[in-house]
Amino acid sequence: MKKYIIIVLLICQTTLASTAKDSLDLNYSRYVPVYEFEDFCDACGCSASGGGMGFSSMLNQNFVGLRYMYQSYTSREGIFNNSPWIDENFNTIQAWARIPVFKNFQVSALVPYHFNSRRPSTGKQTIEGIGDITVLGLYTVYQTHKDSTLFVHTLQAGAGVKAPTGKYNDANNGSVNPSFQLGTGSWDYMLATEYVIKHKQWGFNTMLNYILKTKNDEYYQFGDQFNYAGTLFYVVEKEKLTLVPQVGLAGEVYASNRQYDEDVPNTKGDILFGKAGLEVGSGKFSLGVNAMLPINQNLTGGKVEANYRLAINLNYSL
Amino acid sequence: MKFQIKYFAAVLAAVSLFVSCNNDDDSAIVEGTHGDAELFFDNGVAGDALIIGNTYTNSNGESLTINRFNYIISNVVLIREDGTEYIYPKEESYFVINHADELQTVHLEGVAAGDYKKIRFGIGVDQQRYLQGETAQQSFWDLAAANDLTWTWSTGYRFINFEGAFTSTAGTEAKPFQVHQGSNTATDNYREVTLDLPTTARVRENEQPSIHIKTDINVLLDGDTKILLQNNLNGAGTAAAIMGGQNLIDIAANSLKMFTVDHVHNGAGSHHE
Repeated sequence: MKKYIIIVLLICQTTLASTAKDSLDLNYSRYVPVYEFEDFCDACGCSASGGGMGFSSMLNQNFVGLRYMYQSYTSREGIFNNSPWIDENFNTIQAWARIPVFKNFQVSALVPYHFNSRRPSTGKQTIEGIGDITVLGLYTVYQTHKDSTLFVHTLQAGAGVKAPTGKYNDANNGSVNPSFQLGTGSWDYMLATEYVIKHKQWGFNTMLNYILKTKNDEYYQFGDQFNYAGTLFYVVEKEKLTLVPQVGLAGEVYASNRQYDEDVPNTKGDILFGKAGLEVGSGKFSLGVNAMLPINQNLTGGKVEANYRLAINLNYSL
Repeated sequence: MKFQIKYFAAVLAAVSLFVSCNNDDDSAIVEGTHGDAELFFDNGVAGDALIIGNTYTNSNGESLTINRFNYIISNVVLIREDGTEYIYPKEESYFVINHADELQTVHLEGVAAGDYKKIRFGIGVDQQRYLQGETAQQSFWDLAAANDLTWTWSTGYRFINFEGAFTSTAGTEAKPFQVHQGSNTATDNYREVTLDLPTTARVRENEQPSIHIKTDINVLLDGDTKILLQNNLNGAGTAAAIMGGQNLIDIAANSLKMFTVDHVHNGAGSHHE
């Protein structure tokens, strides 16, 4: 099923973009939501820049903001069928910004601060600190903003770097969840594309990105990650407010982690979420809430289960 | 448009600069250096964790409440991919595992640095060592005795001490059982097992692998050969004791499937304590 979703998203991005040939008039509308490439959740929350929240629509292209994300996991502590399951809580406060540099080119920066906890049999464990900082350049490959056009398209592509500013601690990498970390400890690279098509009040956003991860100083390498999402949204314009309710699907596919150039057994996996959210814009401010529930998952050989994710964000338009 | 593509290309080029800053230097084996290694024995029953006092039912239709599971591990050998072996010094290579006391780790010191792919060890004490006599192994004998892993010196070590209470379909009243594995004058029941490691165990001066071994107590009575406690009751029918004869030969054969390596941790530091 996930394969089909990915294929559909790819087709959406390529064919729809290619049919929109003319750039026409760049008559800017302030109510065109622009969507973010922030879906960089690293293997179950480690150094997550986005917690898979994919769709956090902005009511303006350029902004600074704060976002709080919560991810709930349950992980099996031990190797036996009756080994206890422990709760893991991943909290992230993230400062983020999207700033225009040139015409049609923007830079996004995400600075996460994590405070994660779990309670294994040996007592409560917490890790807290700055996570991996991501900087991403986004180029608007194609955009139409003409009101008379039946469909409005925006296609963006970009590339970015995630720096190892979050601490990777080898000692946390025990028998439970290998992603109980503040960062991957490595320089990681990403490619991202996003395509938004709008027709009147309706819109559909597709997002694909790939994160290439490298080996860290402890010879540990988190598996490459592919994220995809499709989100349907509807824009309600009131006199002083703009409301954007949204529903969609988001998925993550992880390659096997490696240590000393060997695959670590039971570390690859995938997960598909259903998600719903609402964004409210008023003046220069916008407030968003988002929730994600797993539809089907196979993470870390079944030893880690994602329960849900929540996010709330407040942005200020520049 | 041309202008913007130029910027885009410039950013991509800038990003690619970071990619080359990767450290690919692997920590190589330095000949003549040594490190530590540990074996962690995680005791289970047919896929579940062994919990003293809990009751489980085996495929023989008997329900066992286990209150003791101790055994001797010996003659540890680490095997490289090319088949060459590092043999841990024999005098030092005898260890006790005691589940109730959480004595579950075998710590090896001064192991030759290397990449190891297999491990071999014995269950119990080999005849060669036993026949060296009591004074040669007094300290290990004392340790084994303290963990209920000896009879008298003349009858020798208990390789495995597995005790508790059981009920069977034939009778609902719980009766005590004792399974004491060992060699005797008739048969040598010492056995060795060779286990594959799912990933390499890397021994270096500053890196200590932990080999996480899963022990399945269930296979002793419920393995390839089925042994019913109910068929081993004493004359009065009040308790079952398995301490000799064909049963021990069958248990020795069953014990060859008692161990699997679940995973290997690599890196610095201890991983289980």
